[in-house]
Amino acid sequence: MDATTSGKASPSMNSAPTNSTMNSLMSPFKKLWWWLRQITGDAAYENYLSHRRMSPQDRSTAAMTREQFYADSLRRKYSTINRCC
Amino acid sequence: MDVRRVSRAVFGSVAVNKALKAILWVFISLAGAGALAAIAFERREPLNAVWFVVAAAATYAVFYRFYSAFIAAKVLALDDTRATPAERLDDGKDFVPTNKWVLIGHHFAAIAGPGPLVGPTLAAQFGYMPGTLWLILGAVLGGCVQDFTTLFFSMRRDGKSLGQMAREEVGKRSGLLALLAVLAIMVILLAAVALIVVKALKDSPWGTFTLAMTIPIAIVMGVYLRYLRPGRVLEASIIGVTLVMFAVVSGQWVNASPAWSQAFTFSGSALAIAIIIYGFAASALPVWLLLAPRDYLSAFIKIGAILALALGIIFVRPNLQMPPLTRFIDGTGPVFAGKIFPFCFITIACGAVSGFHALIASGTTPKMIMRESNARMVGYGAMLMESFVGVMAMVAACALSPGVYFAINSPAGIVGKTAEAASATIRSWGFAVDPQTMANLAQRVGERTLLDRTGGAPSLAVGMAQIFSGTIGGDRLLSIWYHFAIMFEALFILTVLDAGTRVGRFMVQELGGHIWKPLGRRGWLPGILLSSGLMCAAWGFFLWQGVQDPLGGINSVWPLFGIANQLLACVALVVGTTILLKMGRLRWIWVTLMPMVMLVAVTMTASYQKIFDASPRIGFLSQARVLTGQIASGAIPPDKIAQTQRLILNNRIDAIVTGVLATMILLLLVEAISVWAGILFGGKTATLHETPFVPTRWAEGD
Repeated sequence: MDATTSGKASPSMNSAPTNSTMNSLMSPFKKLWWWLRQITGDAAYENYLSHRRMSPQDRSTAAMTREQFYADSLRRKYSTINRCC
Repeated sequence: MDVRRVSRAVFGSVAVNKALKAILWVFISLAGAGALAAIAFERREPLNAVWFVVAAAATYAVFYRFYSAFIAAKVLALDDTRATPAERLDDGKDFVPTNKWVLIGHHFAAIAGPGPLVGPTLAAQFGYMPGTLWLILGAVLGGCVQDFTTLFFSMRRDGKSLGQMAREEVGKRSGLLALLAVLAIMVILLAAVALIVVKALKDSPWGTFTLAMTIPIAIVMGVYLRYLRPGRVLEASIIGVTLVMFAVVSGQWVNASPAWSQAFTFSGSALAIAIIIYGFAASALPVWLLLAPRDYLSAFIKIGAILALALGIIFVRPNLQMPPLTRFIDGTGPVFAGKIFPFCFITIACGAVSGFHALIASGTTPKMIMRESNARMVGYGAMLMESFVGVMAMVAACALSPGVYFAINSPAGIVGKTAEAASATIRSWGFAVDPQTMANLAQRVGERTLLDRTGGAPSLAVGMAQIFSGTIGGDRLLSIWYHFAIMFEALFILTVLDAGTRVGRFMVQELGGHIWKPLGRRGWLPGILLSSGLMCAAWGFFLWQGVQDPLGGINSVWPLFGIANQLLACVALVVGTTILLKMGRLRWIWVTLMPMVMLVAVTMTASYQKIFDASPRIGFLSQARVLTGQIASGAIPPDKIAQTQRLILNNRIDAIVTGVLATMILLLLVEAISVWAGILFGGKTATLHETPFVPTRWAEGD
């Protein structure tokens, strides 16, 4: 988790969000682990929380719990075509 | 980057560095051209798989480096100063700026399913040459272009779907046509892939047991992910994959025990009913219980198996035993009937050009692109990877001895019901095979028989098992590898089935909501049951007719699927061409127009032949006519008359479905061409429905 959120930029800094950028300082093994967690959706909840920390306008509502977030993301994912032949 | 620095240090000049790069690309181009030429023209001795890997990799590299760069710079003019929807609308849920290496993984996992494995296996009946060239060249000039442009256009429209783009940019009718095309392709796709599972698991207790076990395994994962450790996908996937591997291995004990193997032996009809019930349950139940965990499981195994196949091919480097061209280019092929043009291009859709991808490229992916320039790697690059999966499937199928390939893939209705008859027929085609070889092979892979196993999955599994066991385990593990391959194909077919039925259910509910309001409510139980039932009945109809078909079913259902899939590709390319025209890129419209013309020609010819061709194995109507004649002349025994009448009805329905699909293409073309003419000659102003430019707030280079 630290790898994905380390060196977090505040929204005023003009830099792409770090939760979706590979930190060039990470070791290859950490990079692979980071990639694996991103790609499988394992890190989705942490990304959601760090997104909320960075966007003040979202803080008017309470953050979803891990459980709520998981249920909500499944509902959104399987309502549209997401698998092909 | 290091190479550049080193070469600059050594040669001390940018010009030398440039020259070196040019030499490198000339070398890669020559290697690719040489390997493609070997595939196209080598006639004397069996070709090694290395030629295929080199031809594919070099062609992909050259086209990615130059053609996709040209499309990115000139045709689409990607603009990294423009904020993407992921940046502007970032909500941490749907719109999420995502690293391109993560996004290409997501996108690839979404587009690549059983299609690129099955299509090339079936098309191998023409020999390795036509299918391989179509896979490689069709992808770099057609499929990748379609995926890339559709992704870009959707990204410029905040992730709008293909149907919405068709309605806004081409016209109202095109939007409706796109919607109907999507529903049609879903129904036929689900039937086609379900048929493949049925054919692979028929009379196979080991395979059936393994696949049945994935249901409780998925439920265990589902409970774990929902209640025990919510959202810990990696942990659950590792548990799931371990259990599935154990299920594959333990299948041999089921197979060995008379009582257990009896319990897991099913006929084709019984399996078809079981799969229809499964599809209904999976689409109506909450997703966390079955659908989502199975999806995680299958994505994991999919990537693993594809990597393993690539490593296996590179490690074993098998010779391709199939000739470059077989006698079946004359249209009399036992796997499916019809000549190379158009049927090779219909049979191999996924892996070369697949219209279904346009739905993914206008779905979740465009909402996650961080920078416009990433669309090139994600859109064009992911399709290159799928094309390579197709080439590997072709290699695995053609590495089998052709006699074995045809013995597995030819329906009993054509080669004969007994092993002796089948072998004799296949030998008369000039391919060596005998009943003892087939019996031995079946025994070694842990099956009762490998004859009459149409659909491509069993022969691909034999091919993969030979490659895998050449790497690890040798002959001892052949049966485990075979059932691993069957499980992996069946697993992601079931994922397509349940996810597809569920989305189809939503589409039916949406359409139904226009007629009667409560149907449109997603949470309303009677609505859920009714729409799931309708969807399952629709694909179940085509599945059932395939299972009952004495010619094996693939011959009628797979071409229908190919036509529907390429119809969707036509929609995507027509929309793309229209948008390019509206953007004032008349000079470059050949980029989408060329594959579009090719696909229209292919789909129209194939539709015409499937309906009207005089050969009863190709033309649905002549098949119906022949059967009617047989009933009239008394050639059909009285107890078979009802069954034959159903066959006649099925053929007529298939002819109507094909006709409707072809008409949809024509209507779409008429509407699009009138829009184009209006812009080019009628002086109409082209209104583009792009989201207005907003500059990015992110610094360059992230």
